[in-house]
Amino acid sequence: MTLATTNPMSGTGIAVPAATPVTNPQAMAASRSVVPFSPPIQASQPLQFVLPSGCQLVQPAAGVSVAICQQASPSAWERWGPSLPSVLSLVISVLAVGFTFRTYRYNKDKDQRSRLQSIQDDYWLRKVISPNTIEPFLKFTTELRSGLPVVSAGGAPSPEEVQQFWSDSAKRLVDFSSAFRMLELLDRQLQPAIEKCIEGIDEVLASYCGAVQAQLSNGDPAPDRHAAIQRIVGFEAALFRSIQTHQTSVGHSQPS
Amino acid sequence: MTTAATTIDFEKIEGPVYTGRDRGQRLRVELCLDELDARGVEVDIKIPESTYTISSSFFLGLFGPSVVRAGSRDAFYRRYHFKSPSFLKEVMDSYVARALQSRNLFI
Repeated sequence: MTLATTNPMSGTGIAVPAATPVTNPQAMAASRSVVPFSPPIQASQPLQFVLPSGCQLVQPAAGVSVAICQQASPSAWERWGPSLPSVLSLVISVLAVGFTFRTYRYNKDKDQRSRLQSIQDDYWLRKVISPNTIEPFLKFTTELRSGLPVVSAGGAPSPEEVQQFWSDSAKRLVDFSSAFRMLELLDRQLQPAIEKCIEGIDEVLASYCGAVQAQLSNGDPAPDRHAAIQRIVGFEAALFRSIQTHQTSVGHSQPS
Repeated sequence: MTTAATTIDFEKIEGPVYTGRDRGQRLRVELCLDELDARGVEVDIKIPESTYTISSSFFLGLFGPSVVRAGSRDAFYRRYHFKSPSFLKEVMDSYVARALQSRNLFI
């Protein structure tokens, strides 16, 4: 038993044995086995049609039954699958543009930081301020600590010598205070911190020298020279730490 | 218009070592130097020979605002007359210069 079907693609008739389930009308259409329509069949027993989805059987009252198959709606994968590579390419392209822009901004910022560091650190701090202020200050404080007057069994300075030592050192500290003002060019917050350290050294110096003069003049107890030196060292360290902190921050923030 | 000079005698202030900015500022308030500056009163400052040291922070705490208000070294000394040992004069003079430099040099 065969039934005649019409291929909607080509209009070619394809004969299919009725016993064979029609599962893939497109496969049938692709088949090169084309046979002419067979003459109408006089059914002696009920016909069983097994049609795949998308096909429908048209049974006229008389004549040949025709199965018409519609092309199945493509699945989501069939619909979008072919365009997936294009979508992926677009996404990757957009990401690439984004990364390129980000890289440009990063390099620009990096160059700006390097320039700032070059101006502030390489030039102003290392070539101008350090040789004219920081290094002389370091030398001064070293001499100050070693030169602090002391009354010992081996000898004692005179009150006038102690006076002279104090007044010379106090005036030098004022000079350094003025010189360190240059740091305002780099960071306005740096100079007050430096000023505080210099004042601290001045306080220790005035207290210690005054105590030595009192010891020489009135026989008062000797001041603690070691403690005075440690305090001076502490203020020195705080001063240099302020400068070091500024140096490490150069390029990471704009000067205030 | 100035009135009769006021005298500040350091012998009446505990010494002979004068240190500490806070101490100088407290003394300034006690001596009402802001008011004297506002009235333009001349001030005589007597510092005894027995004085050993005066720190910059004490001096600036006590006289700093007056120096800045005067605007110049000469204007300050026209109102504030110091009688002190010579070694202290030089040191205090450097403090006055430092007080004037506290104004921003780069403006």
